[in-house]
This record gives sequence, C-alpha cells and structure tokens, in this order.
Amino acid sequence: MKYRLVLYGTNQWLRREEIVRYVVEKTSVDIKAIKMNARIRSFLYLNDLEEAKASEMLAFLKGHQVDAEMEPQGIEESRKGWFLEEARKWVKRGFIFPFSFRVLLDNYGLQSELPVLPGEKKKDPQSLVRTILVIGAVLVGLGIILFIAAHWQKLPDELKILGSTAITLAVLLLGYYFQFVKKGNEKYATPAYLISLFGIGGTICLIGQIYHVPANSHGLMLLWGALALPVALGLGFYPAFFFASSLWFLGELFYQGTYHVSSWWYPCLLLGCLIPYSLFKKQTGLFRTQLCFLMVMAARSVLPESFMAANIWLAAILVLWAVKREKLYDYLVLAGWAIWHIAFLQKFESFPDLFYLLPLGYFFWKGIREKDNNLIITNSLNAIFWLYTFLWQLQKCFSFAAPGGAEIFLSLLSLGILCYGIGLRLRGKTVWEPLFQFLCYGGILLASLMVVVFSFRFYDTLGGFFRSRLFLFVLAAEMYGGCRFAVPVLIEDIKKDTGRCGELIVLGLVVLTVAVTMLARPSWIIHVVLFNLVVFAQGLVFMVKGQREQRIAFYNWGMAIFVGLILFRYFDTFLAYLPRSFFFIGGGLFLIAWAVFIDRKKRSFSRSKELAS
Amino acid sequence: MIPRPLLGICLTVLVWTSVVGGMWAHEEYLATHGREILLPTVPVDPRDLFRGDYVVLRYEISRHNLPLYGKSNFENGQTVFVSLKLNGQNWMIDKVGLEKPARGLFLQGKIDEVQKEKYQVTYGIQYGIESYFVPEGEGKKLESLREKKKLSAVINVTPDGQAKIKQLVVK
Repeated sequence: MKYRLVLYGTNQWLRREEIVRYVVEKTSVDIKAIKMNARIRSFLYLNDLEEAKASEMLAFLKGHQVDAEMEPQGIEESRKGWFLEEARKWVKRGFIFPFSFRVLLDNYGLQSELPVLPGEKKKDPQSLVRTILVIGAVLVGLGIILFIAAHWQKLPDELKILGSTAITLAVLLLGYYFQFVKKGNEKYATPAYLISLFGIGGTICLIGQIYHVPANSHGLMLLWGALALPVALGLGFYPAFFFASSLWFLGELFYQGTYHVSSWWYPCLLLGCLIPYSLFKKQTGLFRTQLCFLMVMAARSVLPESFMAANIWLAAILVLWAVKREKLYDYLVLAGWAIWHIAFLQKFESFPDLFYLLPLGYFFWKGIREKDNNLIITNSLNAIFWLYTFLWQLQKCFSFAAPGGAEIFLSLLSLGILCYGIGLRLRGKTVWEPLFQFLCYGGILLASLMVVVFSFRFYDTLGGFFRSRLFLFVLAAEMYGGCRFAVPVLIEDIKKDTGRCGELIVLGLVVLTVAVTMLARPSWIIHVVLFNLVVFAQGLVFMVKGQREQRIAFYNWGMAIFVGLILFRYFDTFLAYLPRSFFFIGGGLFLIAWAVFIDRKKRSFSRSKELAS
Repeated sequence: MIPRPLLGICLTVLVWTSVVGGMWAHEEYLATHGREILLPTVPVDPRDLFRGDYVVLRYEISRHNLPLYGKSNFENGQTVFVSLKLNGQNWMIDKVGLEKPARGLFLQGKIDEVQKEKYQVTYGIQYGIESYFVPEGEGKKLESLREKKKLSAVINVTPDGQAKIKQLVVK
C-alpha cells in the first residue's frame, strides 16, 4: 500500500530553506509546483510514498517542528461503499454541500466513484462571470438611456448624434473582435453586444428627443427592435431576439396606450415571424416567451371586450386541450380561462363568476392526484387572480368603497405572509418541494416587495387606510391565516434550536408594522421607519442564517437586501437623471471590470492547480 | 468568399448607420420643409420612459365634434386628414376626412379617442406634435404658463400633411 504525507502550514515552512531542499531531494517535486500549491491550499500532499520512506520523512519533519501527518493513500475497499452511501445522505440532508463532497472524494482518490447527488445540477463554471458581465452591461445600457433622458444641452445636437453613433459602433466592433478575432474571450462579446443594442436604441431615442417625435412612440420601439435583428441573424447573438421581441411587445403596449386599440402589425410579427421562427429553429425559450406575449396581448385585445369572441376563444382552447391531452394545454386552458373571465367581468360586472371555480377545482384535483407541483403553482396564481376579481365584484355588488393603492399593496403583503405560512407547512415533504419553495420563498418575495414599496414615502397623502372595509377584512384574514400556519412551525424550530428565532422576530415585526400602519395617521413617519426596519431585519436574518448554516445562498440574499436598501434610499433622494446615469454607467463598468478580474483570477488559479497536481 | 461573421458585422454596421442617418434626415426634412403655422397650446408635464421630461401639448384642433347619425364615422387608430382654415388669427378645423385633400392646408392625424354622446360624437386626434421634450425640470416652468394661456407652438407642415413641432413661443 502506498502512503502519503500531509504537510500543513506551507507558507511557514516554505521560508525555511533546509526543509524545502529536503522535500525536493526526497520526492523530486518541483519547487515551482509547491509554491503554486501554496496559493490555493494551506497544506501539501506528498503522494505515492513507500511506508519506510514516508516514516523517515515524517520523523525528519517532526524533528524540525513542521506540522505533518502520515496516512494511507486512498480508502480500504470494505469501507468505500459505506463512505459513499453515508456521504450521499449527508449531502441530501444538507450537512455538507455537493462541493464539500467532491473535495472528500478527491481526498480519498474516489473521483471516479462520484454518485448522482440529490438536487445537484451540472453548473457552468463560467456562469458567475457571465451573469456579472450581463448585469454590468444592462446597467451601462440603462445609464446610456438615462443620459439621453437627461437632455444634456452642453453639446450641440449634431455632435451628440454622431458621438452616440460612433461609440455604439465602436462597442459593436469590440463585441465582434471578442467573438471572432481574439480567441478565448468570446464571453466578453455578450456585454459589448448588449451595450451596443442599448446604444443604438439610445441614439434613435436621442433623435426622437431632438425632433420631438411623440412620447411613448411605438414606432421607435419597432425600429429599435428591428435594429437588433442584424445582430441576432448576422452575428449569431441569440439574446438579441429576446431584446427585439420585448421591444416590439413594449411598442404594442405603447400603441394600445395611445390609440386605445390593438395594432395590426403585432399579431403579424408574433404569428407570422417570431413564433414560426422559434418553432423552426427549435428555440424553446424564445417560443415560450412569445407564447406568453401572445396571451398577454390576447388579454388586452378584443377578446375581453367581446363576450362572444371570448367564448369562441375558450371553446377553441378546450377542444385543443381535449384533443391534445398534453401538459402544455393544461396551462393554455388556465391562461385562456383567465382571459374569458375578464370578458365575463366586463359583460356581467357584479354577477360573481363561479364558473371559474370549475377549472380551478379540476386542476387542483389533478395537480394533487398527479403530484404535479407546477400545475398547482399555476393554478394558485389563477386562484389569486379570481379572488381579487371576486373582491372587485363584491365591491360593485354591495357598493363597498373602492380600495386605494395602499390598501391593495397591504393586502398583497398579507397574501405573501399567507403563502409563506402555507409553504412552511409543506417543508420537508420531498414530493411537494417545488410547491414549498414557490409558496415559501414566493410569499417572502411578495411580502418583501410590498415592504420595499412601503419603505418609500409615496403614500403620505393617501389619507388613511380605512376606506375599504372589504380589503381591511381580507388583510386581517390573510394575516391571521399566515400567522396561524407559520407560528406553530416557527415555534417548533425554536424549540429545537433557539438560534432560529430570526424568522419569528421578522414575522412579528411585519405584523406590528402593518398594525401600526392601519392605526396611525399616514402623515406620521412611523410606518416608513418601521418598514425600513423590516427590510433591515430581513437582511440581517438572511445573513445570520447563512452564517450559521454555512449556506452561501442565504448570505448572498442578506447582502443583496442590504445593497438594495442602500440603492432604494439613493433613488429616494437623488432623482436627477444625470447623476443617476453616471451612477449606472459607473456601476455597470465596475461590474464588468470585476467580472474580467474574477475571470482572470480563475484562469490563473486553474493554471496553478494544473501545475500543482 | 466573404466569411459569414464578417458579412454579419458589415451588414449590421450598414443597417445601423443607414437607419440612424435616414431617420435623422427624415426628421430634419419634416422640420424644415413646408409651411409654418402657429397653434395656441396648453402644456402638461410628464415623463417618457426612454427620453426624459417632456410637455404634453393640447391644441384646439386635437378634438373635433360631429353630429352622430347611427354609427360613428371614424374608429380608433384610423388615419385621417384634417383640413384647416384660418379664423382670424387662429387655425381651426374645416373638415375631417379619410381622403387626402387636393388643396389647402391640411394635417395628417390618427384618431386616438371616440367619445359618443346622445347626439354627437367627439373625436380625439393626434398629429404627432403633442410632445415637446425639455431638459429635466423645465416642464414645470412651461406648465405654469398654462393658466396664462400664452403659449403657442410653431408647427411645420409638409405638403403631404405631416406636422413637426419646431419650437414653443411665449406671447
């Protein structure tokens, strides 16, 4: 059997020449490789040693006060199976991360025995760099748009147009250079193309601004989207399709906003170009996005206005569903029924649409029977939609006061708490894991968003929250339900581990804040302070949880909340376009530079690792 | 044969420069060719998603009433030609139709609102001269002139009825 020596404190003994010389002489390891190893690990493995040689070296090193250990290389055959099975369970139970598991396998020379780990997805090691690059590029792009919006008059108009075009083309060419000329740097092409797409849009918006082209012009959006096509088709930059289709969608919204009627060109673009293209090229992501746009457009077009058209539409979808019997068509029925529901509301207003309960009940039953989490999630969204429209009908029927924006936001906050509470009840049930995540994290997200909305001072002038008794009742019911579901689970958690009291504290703080918001006068600043405190406490709880459980995702969430809190307050105070544009451009460029730095570091580390091994 | 990526980048640069140049030339043409008219206007101050602050301008010719005989004559989103006549110092609507007038001053617009009442229907018409972009914060100053009703817009009208706002004038 072969043995190995493990030498700790590499950085200390590397300074002692006699030790280094001894190790190099005895093992013929390259000194450069040892130094490279020291950059990534605090210990050194000396592998493939005979027992006698390893013992002799250990004695020498111990004699020279070097912290070292000797161990058999690898693991006994009889223990291998046990170890692999146990380690798989540790990962599944969250005791260790998949990453730690790989390190352990590596340590025992079992890399080839790697089992399929529960819930582990194959990750692109470059995904972090790519994500930061894209976020940076989008920030720079938004900065450019804000800069145009600032209407800076220090430069002549001609110079602004020419300068903007030149910079845009230069960035485009830079993207081309990274993608096709300088090999190994293809990922840098993405931010360059994205910035150039924002840049060309900024340029045409600039011309529109100088010549007073009507505001919210659908024409500009159409043109901008069309300009993204050469980048998609000619340079193979696939995200440009999403860019173009989103702009066209926005253009359609602008058109409908201006002329209060649907355009003829958007259905042509969707049905005649984007959907067939995505099907032909088998681009599922693009196809699904366009399908969503189609549904939204259908919801805004003639269908909701004409009850007859909506009936035909629903009948057509139901026939398709009955014939096809595929999963996709379940979702189409849900989306189609929602559109039909809008038409029903317009036609009958206060008459409650109880027909909607048919598909809701059926798909809940089907989802539970087939353990289909996604279907239940979609159905839950439909149920929420129905609930709020039902409230609207009740309000019409019994002449309740209409709710203000603040009341709707507060009820959404309590809805988030309710979802969170129901989600907690599903925790630990493997088969409902996606539903648990959707309800629990989705609920937290919804409630957090509303808390963030209330951390701004916009609602000072709304004049109280007691206008709609109906919404007051809904808020109280949802809040009570959420607490009723969540509190027992959270108390159980605390009984097991007192350190897990953070979630209960935040929940209590939210309930207190909502109660104060309901009771205190809107002009008092106390709500704003309390809602900001909730955001702060939430960030803190995530960070503490991440720290205690050694889960980087929670830690990052906490960090993100703190950064968000700072950003929100920034927008609260400084609303001028120009400083904001510089802030965005600077922030975006910083992120891009950071991503490049990380990328280079990673490359340098992997080179070191290769040399060290 | 030219490699595909090279062809792609050349095509993109060509399309982008042509579109930017073409749009610039077109807007410049609309602003400088044709006849100038002065229309009294009322400003309101909102924000555009991509281009910042602007004032919404409302004109007397933005609305037009017609007697209602059964079905309304025009629909939302429909392109119409509005003939103008000079009444004293103010330009007023003479006739609204779907056909381009053979002579006289006319504007090309789009119906953005149809409001039916018992005996008449009111049409809202957009001419593309309803937005005037201003530096940040300037909109409020212009809006404050609304009460005094002293603001007019200098509009350039091309021979085919396309209008372009040139500037705002305080009387």
